Amino acid sequence: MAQYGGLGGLGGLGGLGGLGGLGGLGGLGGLGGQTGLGAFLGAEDPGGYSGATTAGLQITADGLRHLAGDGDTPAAGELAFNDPSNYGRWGQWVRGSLYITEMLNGLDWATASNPNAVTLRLEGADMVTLHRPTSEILTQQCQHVRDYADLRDERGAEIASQLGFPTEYFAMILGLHPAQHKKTFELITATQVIAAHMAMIVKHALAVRRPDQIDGRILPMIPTPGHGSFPSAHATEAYAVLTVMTQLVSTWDALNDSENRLKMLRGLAERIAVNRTVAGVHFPIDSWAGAALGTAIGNAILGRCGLATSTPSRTYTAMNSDFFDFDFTDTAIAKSHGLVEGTAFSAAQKPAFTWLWGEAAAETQKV
Amino acid sequence: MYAPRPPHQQVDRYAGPYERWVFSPELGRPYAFPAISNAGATYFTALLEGSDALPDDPDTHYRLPPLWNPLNKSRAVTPFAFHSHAASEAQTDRDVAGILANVRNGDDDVRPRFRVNFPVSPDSWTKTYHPHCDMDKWVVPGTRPKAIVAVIDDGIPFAHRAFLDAEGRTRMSHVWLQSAKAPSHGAVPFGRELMNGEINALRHNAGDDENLLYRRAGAIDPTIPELGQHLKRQATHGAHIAGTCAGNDSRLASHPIGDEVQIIAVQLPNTIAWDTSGFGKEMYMLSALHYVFDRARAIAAKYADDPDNPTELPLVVNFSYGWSASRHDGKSEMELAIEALLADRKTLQPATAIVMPTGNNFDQNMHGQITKHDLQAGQFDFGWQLLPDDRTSSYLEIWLPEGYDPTGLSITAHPPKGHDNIAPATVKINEAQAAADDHGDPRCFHEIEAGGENIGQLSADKHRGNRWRIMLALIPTVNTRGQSRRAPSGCWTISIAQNDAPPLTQDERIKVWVQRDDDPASLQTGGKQSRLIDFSAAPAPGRRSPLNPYTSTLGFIRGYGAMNGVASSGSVTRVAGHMAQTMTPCTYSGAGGLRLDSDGLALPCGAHASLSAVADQSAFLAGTRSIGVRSGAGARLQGTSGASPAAARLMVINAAKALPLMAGFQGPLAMPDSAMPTTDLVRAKHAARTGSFTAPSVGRATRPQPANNTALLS
Repeated sequence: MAQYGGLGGLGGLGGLGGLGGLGGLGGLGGLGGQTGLGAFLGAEDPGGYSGATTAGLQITADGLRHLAGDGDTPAAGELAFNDPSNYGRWGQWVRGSLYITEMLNGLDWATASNPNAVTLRLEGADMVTLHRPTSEILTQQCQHVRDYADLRDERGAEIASQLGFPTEYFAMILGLHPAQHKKTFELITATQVIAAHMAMIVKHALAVRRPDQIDGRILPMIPTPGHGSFPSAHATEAYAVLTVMTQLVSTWDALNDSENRLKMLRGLAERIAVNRTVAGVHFPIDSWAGAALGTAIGNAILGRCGLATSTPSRTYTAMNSDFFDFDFTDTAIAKSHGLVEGTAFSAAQKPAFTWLWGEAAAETQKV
Repeated sequence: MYAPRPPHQQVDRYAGPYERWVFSPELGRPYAFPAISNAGATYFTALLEGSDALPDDPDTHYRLPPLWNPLNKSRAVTPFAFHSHAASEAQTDRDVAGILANVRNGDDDVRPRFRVNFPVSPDSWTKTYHPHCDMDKWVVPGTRPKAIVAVIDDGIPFAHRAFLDAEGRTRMSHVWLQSAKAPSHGAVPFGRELMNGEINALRHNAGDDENLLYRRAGAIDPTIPELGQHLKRQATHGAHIAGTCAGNDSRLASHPIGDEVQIIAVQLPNTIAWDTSGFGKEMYMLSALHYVFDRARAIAAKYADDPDNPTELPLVVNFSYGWSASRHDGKSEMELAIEALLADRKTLQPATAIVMPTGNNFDQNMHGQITKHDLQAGQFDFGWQLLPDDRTSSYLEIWLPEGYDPTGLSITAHPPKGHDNIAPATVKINEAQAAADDHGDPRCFHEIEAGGENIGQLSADKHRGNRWRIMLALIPTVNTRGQSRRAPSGCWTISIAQNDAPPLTQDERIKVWVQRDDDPASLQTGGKQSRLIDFSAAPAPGRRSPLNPYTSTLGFIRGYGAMNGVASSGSVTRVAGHMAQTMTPCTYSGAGGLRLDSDGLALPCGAHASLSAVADQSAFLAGTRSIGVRSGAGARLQGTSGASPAAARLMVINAAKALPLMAGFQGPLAMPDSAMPTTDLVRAKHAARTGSFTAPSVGRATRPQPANNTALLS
């Protein structure tokens, strides 16, 4: 019978490792690319060679150097100064630092009390204001989390394979392949890493308890992460990727069924967010806040990439709502759930993101 | 908002609340089976009750399927198909009501009721239909038939080698593929009929390529959604069932079937399990039974001195299908029709049986019973838990006792907490009783709305004019099918208020069933099974203890009465499932109802299991083995669906030997040693789950034992 099948897909978590504690910021991830600081930040760092190779290279140098004679050192050809043409030279993890700092440059945040709220600002303009949900609403939301536990059986494989960035899920919908979409993957990863950073800023300030610390019957099926519940970083990342990829698919102009794929991409963002509620680690209102934050971040990244976007700022004051993308995307319905649009913000263009966007856009499969 | 309909456009006047829900665009139609929701239909199927005469209407073309009626009795329920010439495609409840009004023929004295079913695909409508089977494609089997076994199911691999006789010719005498493309001439009203001569030729011409064979036979056709590519699957429900009751295979070698057993198979629309309401299938099911009886008679006629008056052959029909919510008293349209067929044929041939499973909902919290004690305070509340991400409609049926006068009773549905924008809906029996006598059953409807859009329908109707049913239908809990509405998931509260209605007697109970809403055949419906919640404080002690299967109490929610909703006809053989290794009932196996009398003694009520057969090998080897779709393939199936055909197999083997159908069956399954204490109630519970007989285990042949040890040593 159907309900007994379907969990065969639990393999495949092996790919999440791969950091090996290498260059730069790589060690910060700790969990090998699980969340936040991904495998991205160590990519393309060769690290050190083995002791035998290092010793062998020394001996080889001594043995071969005489063949090049003892003339003068030739003149150095200079690289272009502070020029985008150099971005492609750097390791991916180096560009990772550049993307993060380009985004942080101009980012600011402020907290308010009575009511408690945090506002993310970009270039001085408000992006997103999230009010701290009341403990009464959190208590009410626990019923939703318990209701969603009914879906754990069938969502188990998805939930376990979405502990880290669920890039594979986006890739399959858009037909991405590592050989053909290297920079597109880099753009997705940069978006996820930045979204995770920004989510952590807000989570720290708002300090909202996880559902399992309120109602013991929730018993999450995965470890509760070591940060606050509100907003959901998974929702933030998924909606940021959705926003960026929606624009890239349009720029590519390569998929004849792009309208349907974008519907599925939106459905995926919603599903990734909801899966965290099914797992028992997030309230539905965390998804609301994450979707609002992620959409703002996605638009900010598009601005950094040089795409003129003017996006309404949003303020979210949680009510006891279940989360549906249908409600989130309808401004009037969203307002009735406490998500209100305000004055628009935009993000200044920056060189590293502009370069990355051009590279990803060139990966169009249009013929 | 549900727009008011003028009387002649009210489908509930001719049919029931399911039809109103499924065909009304404001209600459940967008979520119905794609053949209904995506486009209009011109060819419909239906049951007619209260008359078996179809009118002479120039605008509508009627077809009766082959009907078995050698005793020339008037039928209470008649399956028929119809096609409206006048109307363009019937899209909505209004159109369907218009057609039914014509069928009713303007005769005010005849007030037939209808159950409107799935439409027929235009490609499946036989252009020239001659109901008489002339057996032209039939060849005389090498061995004279002594009994017939029939299987009604989906995805039946009729050309599988498991169904060959010793000479390599098929034992599949007749096959009706109800949703295949129709040939230009046919003896079935829709779909395609194949006889053994054609199957032999198909097998011969396709060589070993069964994929080619089924495509040539029109049994695989992606252009017809109701048929589709199911026979390309490695395993189907129908393959397992047909193999278990009629096939010869190493997995079933313990009880081989001889060449003197011929097979009749009816393949229902493969998507028949799609709909979650029980709506839409009865005409196909009842036509299938009539077809089986009719063709069995045609086979007998080939061997009769007087072909018009043959001696009917022993016949065992396996029908592993059902749904969960219905009257459960044998008085639904389908059950009345099944009983009439069985009773009539038994007068001609006592060795006649229809074998059905008890269902798999025992431990799903899908049934509840409310007693007079529950209503002592004048009101009883229970919960109905809807799952998130349910992409199909959900249905709850509440049945009042037949003969009980519920004047004054009211039922209220409250949305889950936190949904203040949804007003609770209340239905009062008085309103339905006061409804104008417009030749429909007494009934009334209340719409449940969220933000001005319909999300639910609460109704009361006096089903078939003799028993009150309160039904709650709700739309999916996610936005789907392009709709801007959804029902809240979570716990809905249902309140039954007695008001000034008379109290229930000791023997009377209000019974609650949740309709099936999962996706057992992987049809991608997105259905999620809802369940009942008992608000009474203390859960029954030790309820799910693996060591003590029977508790000493009988609460509101109970598996007892969670019985296949179409299997309550008195003469049907109902098969429960047990685990072969432990000889204990499977945790899911449906059971008969129980009630307590005024002395606290447990009494059976409603239809009970007739016998138990193996449904699981062990806790770790779930299900039973049978054939897959392709010759040589194997599959496992878990559930009472697999137990029923094992019993049918043994019964037809007995019939062919002129033995009593249950020869070789043992007595009731023994009470487990761990069932303590063995009170009267515990004994009644055990009996309700196991029936009176136990079928021997069907499986691989047991290895012959060496005559003695010396044989091994030598």
